[in-house]
This record gives sequence, structure tokens and C-alpha cells, in this order.
Amino acid sequence: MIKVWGSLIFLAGLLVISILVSFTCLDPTSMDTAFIGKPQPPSLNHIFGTDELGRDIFIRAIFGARISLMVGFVSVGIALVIGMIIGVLSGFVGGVVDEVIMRCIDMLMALPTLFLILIIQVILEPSIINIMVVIGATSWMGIARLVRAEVLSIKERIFVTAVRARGLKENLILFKHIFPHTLNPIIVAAMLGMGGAILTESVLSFLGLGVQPPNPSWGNMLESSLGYMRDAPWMALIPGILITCTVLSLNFLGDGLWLLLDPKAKDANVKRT
Amino acid sequence: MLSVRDLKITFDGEHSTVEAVKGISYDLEKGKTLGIVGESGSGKTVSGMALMGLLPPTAQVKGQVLFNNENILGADKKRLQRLRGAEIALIFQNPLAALNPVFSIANQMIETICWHHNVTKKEAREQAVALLDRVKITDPHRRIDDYPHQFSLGMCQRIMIAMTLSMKPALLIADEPTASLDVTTQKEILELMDELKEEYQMSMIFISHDLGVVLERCDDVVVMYLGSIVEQGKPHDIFKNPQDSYTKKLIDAIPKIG
Amino acid sequence: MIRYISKRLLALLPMLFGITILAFFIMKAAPGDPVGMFMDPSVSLQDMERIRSNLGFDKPIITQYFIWLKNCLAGNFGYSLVTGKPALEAIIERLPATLLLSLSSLVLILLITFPLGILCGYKKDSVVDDGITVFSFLGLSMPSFWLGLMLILLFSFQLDLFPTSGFMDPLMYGESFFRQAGNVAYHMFLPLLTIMIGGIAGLTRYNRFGIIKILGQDYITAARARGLSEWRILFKHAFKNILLPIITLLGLDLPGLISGSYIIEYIFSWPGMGQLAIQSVFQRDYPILMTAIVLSSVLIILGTLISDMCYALVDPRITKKGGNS
Repeated sequence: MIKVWGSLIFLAGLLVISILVSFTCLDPTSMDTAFIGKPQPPSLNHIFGTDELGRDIFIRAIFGARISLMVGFVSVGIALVIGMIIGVLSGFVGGVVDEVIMRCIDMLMALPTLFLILIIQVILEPSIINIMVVIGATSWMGIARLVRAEVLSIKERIFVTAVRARGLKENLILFKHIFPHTLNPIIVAAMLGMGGAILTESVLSFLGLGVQPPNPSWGNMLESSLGYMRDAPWMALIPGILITCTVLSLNFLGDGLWLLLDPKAKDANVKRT
Repeated sequence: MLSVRDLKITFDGEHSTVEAVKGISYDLEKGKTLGIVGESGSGKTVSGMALMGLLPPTAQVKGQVLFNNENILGADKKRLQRLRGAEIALIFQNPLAALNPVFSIANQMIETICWHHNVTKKEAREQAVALLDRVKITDPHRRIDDYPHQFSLGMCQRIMIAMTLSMKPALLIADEPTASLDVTTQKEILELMDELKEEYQMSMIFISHDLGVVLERCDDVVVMYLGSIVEQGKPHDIFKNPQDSYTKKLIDAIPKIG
Repeated sequence: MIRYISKRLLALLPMLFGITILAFFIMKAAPGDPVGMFMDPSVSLQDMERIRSNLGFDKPIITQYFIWLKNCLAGNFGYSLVTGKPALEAIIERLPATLLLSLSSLVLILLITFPLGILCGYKKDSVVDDGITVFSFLGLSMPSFWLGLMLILLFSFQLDLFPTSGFMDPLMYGESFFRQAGNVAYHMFLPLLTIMIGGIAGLTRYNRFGIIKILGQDYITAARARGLSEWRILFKHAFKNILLPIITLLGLDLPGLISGSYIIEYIFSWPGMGQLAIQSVFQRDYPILMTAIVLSSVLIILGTLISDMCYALVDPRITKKGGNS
């Protein structure tokens, strides 16, 4: 329980700070010319120190958090929308349509996604929008499968047949009765998906194919830390720790939610009489 | 040969403690069959498993279980291990689930025989085939190499019985052995068990929810309800003169023809 | 068994087909003139047109695809825009280094996660279990490239124990096999460790959950009821059953593992397929990229097939029909 509460507090704090900072006039690109080329270690003036261009790392980290959270939310949102539509379609319609869709999903899941994303980013010009779209467009498959499985199991259940017997149109059945039940596994998948999206964005930015400097992203902050690893290790440590903590919190939350929603997951040892 | 005194079993759950068995006592004489009847939740299965120390660590077991004048309830791991199978054996309700799906019958039976007796693999295999034949599995020489999912439920139960017999236990605990089987197969398995009980001179505890079957085949009967014994005695007496209201309901529920 | 494999192969082939189509169209979407990129600027326009039509660039796109596919099947994947070498050759010569790293990490990961997962599941909710669970969460949440950087920081810079990059010291050429192998291992240590930490973290949780589920099964209790020792139950009865979900997971995770290893190779300048692939992304070396996508996908499909085969070997329910008599 500590894990779940700690994660919630951490993420909530991150979210609040990221939103608040948009209203301040803090500038992540402002440079302290005295420190150019000489990154400063953490001190009272600069909590996380300064980077190679004299910019305050703490401020950059917060702006980076804003980007990461945004990318996380939006890309998972896109993946959810695509995944749910396709999953419900596939599960509800069934038959040949279902077969074809599942085959396509199998094929897409066999692709080395990260590698593909890199290539796509090289073809398009990297921008925050297309990062989010690309990540979303390559991670909906798992969600579609989950949704389809739920739909299939619910299809069998009696109450849907009962609703059908009342004469409601097919679409209404779909939306009203089936959708709420698909939410359970989705919520967990969304949490874990956010973590994945943030990690992917950090790799992209690290390789220069994500958020472009001087806009700060934890990933590209890591990239600029490369040349200074010996002299200024905090430049590499801090963004990485932040990424890890954020994704960790998301994972803990997702895991905690899963235990909550799926009672079977808890204990396989207690036997009935 | 078996004396259970004031057996209490509680389960420590995450949020609550469940009292599954609230202090039961009974005796079993050598060569006899004791029937334990009850519905789900009565504690009958749990009490059976407690005799062999097979309950999960969340279970707290108190009381006394004297097996041939030895208290096996607090026994150490080594003693329990030697006890299981060789002296007390258990037959499960779902025979297919009780067999490991990834190993052949031959593998599992030979393992059991070699574990308990000092024989070579070849000898063990011969013994296993003979036992399968005894429990009326057709073509045992070939079928012994098949896997559990390739047999029907009834045959799986026969295989379980064969495996149990190979260990030559003195006491057999049969936990709802026919609950998953259809009626005709039930009858066959029960008759087989009667035959073997005579042949191998075993004592038996027969756990079931079916009072009719128990009254027919057991020398003594114990009726359990919500963890306690509500009625105890000879089948004839219980049938003619049920004392407890629950027992009366059970007797009324026995399907009668005519 | 053979029937099963052929069935699986048949199902996987359309996938391969689809992937090649995808790869081709991604490449076609790339900006820039692939013919012009490869040409000496002094070549005349007419010559360029001639070469262009030779290579089939003026035909409709579907035809272009089939020409390309035909070439691929013949082994001709085009030429690197950077080095001019045949793309297939350039990638294949990198294969051994990648295989060395990937296979070693796979073997080591499996060797470590099985006992670890079994330990966790067996001693559920103990201090050991909680500790290892936290460790695996941590491993899953860390960006792998950052882990690599941190290891470099620690072991190379601070402790000066391992080199930051490369495959083997140039000075080692001509030395005995063992000294060379030792030197390669010395260079491989850090990238291997990076891949392993991530892999172990991911697999252990799955392993643990699987073991817990299996230990709750009736056949385990039945084995215990027959007096078998806990060791035997764990390492014979439970073990074979836990292989099944692990094999499935490895098969599903393959694409992620491969992409991930590419990044690690890049960070450590390990001269494998991945490093070439990532470099080519930056260099916009499209022929290499196309070849890399197709080859990676082939590897993935091969891996999936192998994992299906292993699954069928372990689980008799797949290949032997359930019978009744």
C-alpha cells in the first residue's frame, strides 16, 4: 500500500508542478553565461545544478516533466481510442472481419516497433505532435486484444441476449452495455502504457529524434549529458532518476489497480473446503 | 487405528479469520469405512487434508490426530513426508486436475513406485501396467505412455486409484472421488473401490456430499455442517432415527424410486 | 509435430509478406531521391534517367514492389548509400556480434530468472519476495539506455574496470583464441549486464506469478500427498509447467527485445546489426534500413516459430489429440 500511495503522491505532485509552472515566467532556456561550458554541481542556487549551457537543470527538469506527462497521456489516449474501436469491432462483429483484424494485429506486433518509430521519425520531422501520434499509433494492439477478449466473453453472457430480446438496435447494445465492462483491464493497460510511452519518448529524444533542443525533455537532457559524464555526472543522473521514478510510480499504480480489480490475482493458495 | 480429537482449523485471510472446522472428533477402526457427509463449506475436505498436513501455511490446525497411537498433527516435515502415500493416501475430486498434464502416466506412476519402493524402473513399469490392468484400463501396455488429457475422467480416476494402490497405504482418504463423474461411471468406480478395499485390507474415509452413497457403503457415518459434527453413528440408525434437523433434510433429499 | 510446425509456418508466411509491404512503402515515403543520392553529381541527366528506368523507378509502385521483392529473394537488397557495399552483406557480417550478445544474454537471463522466480513464488510475501519484486519493478522502469550509461559511469569512469565500447582491442589480433575470447568477454561485460538487468526484471515477475498459480494446482497437492519431497515437486513437477508461460512470453516479447538490443549496441558501440541499423537511421541509409527491417522481422518470426516448437515439445496437449475410450 505504501507503494501505491507513494506513487499517487509523486505523480500528483509532478502533475501539479508541471501545470503550475506554465503560469510562471520561468524559462528553461535562459542561460547563466558565467557557467557556459562549466556545468555546476547541485547547490543552493541551482537545486539540480546547471548544464553545459548554464541553464538551471531543476527548471529544465520540470518542463521536461510537463512534456513527458503530456506525451504519456496523449499517446496512451490515442492508443486507447484506436484499440477500443478496433477491439470492440473485432469482438462484436466476429467472423471473417475478426479473423482478418487479428491477423493484422499479429503482424503488427511482430514488428520491431522502436526501430520502426526511429525510422518514421527520421522521415517526418520530429515534433512533439508526431511523437505522440507515432507512439500512440504503434501501441494500440495490446489494448485491442484485451478489449476484444472482454467483448467476446461478454457476448456470451446472458444479459446481452436479454437486451437483444428487448429489440434495441445493435449499436445501442454495444455502447451502453459492453463498453463499461471493457474498462477494467483497460485502466491497468493504460497506466502501464503511459510508462512505456514515456520510456519510448525518452529514447527518441535521447537519439535526437524526439523533442528538439532547446526545448527540454528528460531524454534530450540525457543526450547533452554525454560529453560531460566524467566531469558532471549529475547531468546524466538526474533526468534518468526522474524518468525511472515516474515510470515506476505508474507501474506501481497499475499493479495496485490490477490487484484491486482482479481478485483472482491475489492469492492462489487458499483453498475452499 | 485413527482417532481424531477436537480438531480445529482456522484460516488467516487478509482481512478476516475463517473458522473452517470448529472442533470435531471421531474414531476409525482398522478395515472399516467412515463416511463424512456435508455440503460445500462444511469443512469436510479441509478436515481430510489436515490429517496429512496438506493445508496451506495460512491454516492453523489445533487438536489431536492419533494414527496408530502416534500424534501426527504436530509431526515434523520428514515424518509427514514418510507418512503421505505410504501410510495415508488421498484421492481427489477432480482426477484430471490431480494428474500433471505434461508428464505421461508411465512417468508419474513409475516415479511414485520408485519413490516408495526400492525397485528398478523396469520393475516399476511392470507393476504399474499390472495395476492399470487391475483397475480395468484397457490395453495398459500401450496406454501407460499416454498423457492425462487423453483419458476420460472416469479413467483418470482409475489411474489415480492405481497410483494410490501402488503405495499400499493403510488408510485411504477419498475426497468426493465420484463427484465429477457421470452416474454410471460413479457406480463402476465405487464398486472398484469396494473390491480393492477388501483385497488390500485398507481402512477408508469416504468424504461426500451424497448421503445416499455414504449410507450404502460405510460402516460409520459422520454428518458435518458449517464446521461441526451434527450427527454421528451407524448408517442404519441415522437413516431410521435422524436426530439433527440438517440430517433430516439430507435424508429427505435422497431420491427415492417408487 | 511436423504437421504442427507446417501449420504454424503457413500462418506466419502472410505475416512476413505483410511486413515486406510495410517496409517497402515506408521507404517509398522517405524524402529524397534514392537514385540521385547514389550518383556522382557529374553524371548527365540522360544517364540518370537511364539508370532510373533500369532500376525500375519509373514503373507503377506495385510493380516496383514486386521487382524489389524478387530482388530480395535473390539476395539483392540494394547497396548502402554510405559505403556502397551490398546491403545484405553489410548486415550479415554484423550478425555474429549481435548473435553473440543476444544469445549469451538470453541464456544468462533464463538461468537466473528461473531460480529467482521460483524462489519468489515459493516464499511468497516474504522479505526475499518483496525485495526481488521491488528490484524487478525498478529494472522495468529504468530506461535501458540510461542504465547502460550509468553502468559506464560506474564501472568505466569511476572504477575503471571495464571498457566503454568496442568489441576487442586491436592489439589482440594475432593472440591466442583464449586471450581473444577473454578480451571480447571483457568488452561484452557491460552491454551484457545492461541487457540482463532489464530482461531479468521483466521475466522474474512473470515467472513468480506463474509459479504461484502452478503451486496452487491440484496436481501439486496430489504429488505432495504421495509423499514426494518439496524439491522434487518444485524442480520436476512445477518446473516443466512454468516453462510454458515463459516460452510464450519470450515469443511475444521478441520484437521488444530486439529493438532494445539495437539501442544497447549503439550505446556501447558494439559492432552488431543493431549499431549499424541505428547509425543508418541517422545517415538516412535507406537500403540498409529496409534490409534491417526485413531481417529483424525474419528473425522475429523465426524466433516465434522456435518458441512455438518449444511449447509443443513441452506441452503434450498440443500435439497429441485428447482421446476417450
